[in-house]
Amino acid sequence: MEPVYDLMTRLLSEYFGVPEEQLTPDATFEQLDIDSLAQVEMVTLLEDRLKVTLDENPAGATLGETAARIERLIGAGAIGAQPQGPADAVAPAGPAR
Amino acid sequence: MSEREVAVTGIGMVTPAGIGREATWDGLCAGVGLGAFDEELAGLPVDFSCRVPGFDGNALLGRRITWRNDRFIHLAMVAAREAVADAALDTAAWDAPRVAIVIGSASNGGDRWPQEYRHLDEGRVSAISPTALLRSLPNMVAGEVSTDLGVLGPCLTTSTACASGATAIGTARDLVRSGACDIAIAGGTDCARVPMGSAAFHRMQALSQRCHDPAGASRPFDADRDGFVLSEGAAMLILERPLHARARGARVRGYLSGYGASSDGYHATRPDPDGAGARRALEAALADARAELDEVHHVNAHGTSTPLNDAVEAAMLTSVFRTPPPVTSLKGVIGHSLGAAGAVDAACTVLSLERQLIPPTANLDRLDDGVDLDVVTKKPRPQRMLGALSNAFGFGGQNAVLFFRAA
Repeated sequence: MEPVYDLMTRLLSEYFGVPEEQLTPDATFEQLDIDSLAQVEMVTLLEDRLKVTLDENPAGATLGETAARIERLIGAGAIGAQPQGPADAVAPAGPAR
Repeated sequence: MSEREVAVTGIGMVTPAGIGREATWDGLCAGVGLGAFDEELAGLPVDFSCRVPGFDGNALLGRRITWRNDRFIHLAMVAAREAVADAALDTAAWDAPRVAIVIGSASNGGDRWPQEYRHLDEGRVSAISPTALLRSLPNMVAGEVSTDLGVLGPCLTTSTACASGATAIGTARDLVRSGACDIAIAGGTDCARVPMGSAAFHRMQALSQRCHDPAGASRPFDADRDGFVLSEGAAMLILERPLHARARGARVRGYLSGYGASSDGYHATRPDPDGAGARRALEAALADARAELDEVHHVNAHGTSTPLNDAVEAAMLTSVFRTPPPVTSLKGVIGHSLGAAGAVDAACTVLSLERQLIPPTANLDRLDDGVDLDVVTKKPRPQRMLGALSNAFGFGGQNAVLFFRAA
């Protein structure tokens, strides 16, 4: 299976249009201008591809930390869990209006 | 030119005839129907449409913008950027709170709704994109384009079905004329040539069923017309008061002199059989412009290629003018882009006045017996024109007519 970090950076580049040269393990989502909506979309895409339920990404997490955390979740057997319900992934920041 | 008029200083277009104003104009003047088999519609009763050729929003706008928006917003953004550039406006230097934006859309598109409904049906709420609404709501096209261009003034969406684009231009004209803004970006956009659009309009019996001859399917005013052809596109105009345009040395392509709106108050889809609603909008536009009938030298018709619209519109024009000036319908070439159509027609009416040339109506081989109009066919017709009308009539009996004068 494609390493989570590679999948994440591929999505950031191909789906969200982040310039490839900005994609480094220690870059944070904020630094890449991936706002709260984009982060929720990202989690949706990752869950769909990895068949895993993801929880909230800590604010200020780097790409490397996030990938490692997801790899741990997969290792802990979260694979195949139905992404579903109120434990919905990253809680989006509420719309401002 | 009077100070009641507003100047058109920029035009941008994305249509099945091409990406860009000049590509569209050239394609329209070629006069060949652009309906073709549409692989997205394969298997449906009507499997053809008019698509913008080679439109790649990612390449034109960048993935960073496109991932969160549907195609009707991409189309509008490309057209708006072209219009702003055409008007030689500097978005870094303009007085942004004095710039307004009004964009019409009938169906917006919803190109990605089917997949979201699948998630809902499967009970997978967490798979629904957080942008499902944001990328598809009609108001978001004006919002996203205003963000893209840094517009900080009034920001509106109009939705009057197939008149939406014309209503947007008329509404923007009012904002400019009232002094609510100095510059308005106004137009329409739509992408209804999606499977649900084709299936639903087919069920409504509105579409041509000429699957064996898609290029010949949109045939406004022709005796053998059998419905419209779904299309997509966007067109944007830059409007400003003549004094404002003059002060910044802008080139004026034409003047929007009159706007008239009305409702049929008659039926959801059928036009008032006497064309009374359409006539009220047309006469209101001329009254607004303080123009006489003999100042109208061309009519860019709504001309959808449906049996009913074309018959009623033709009879209305004949009854108003006795001998109507030369008429064309662009929908023979590019099909019907619904909310964009009124803006595409308005933009091309301005270009017709500027170039003293009327693009032909494609596929008009035999004028319907009931149509007593001088319709331009086969090739573009040079014509001396000082004023021209652009008609747009929507489902719901919502009508908008614009009257332009040459610069």
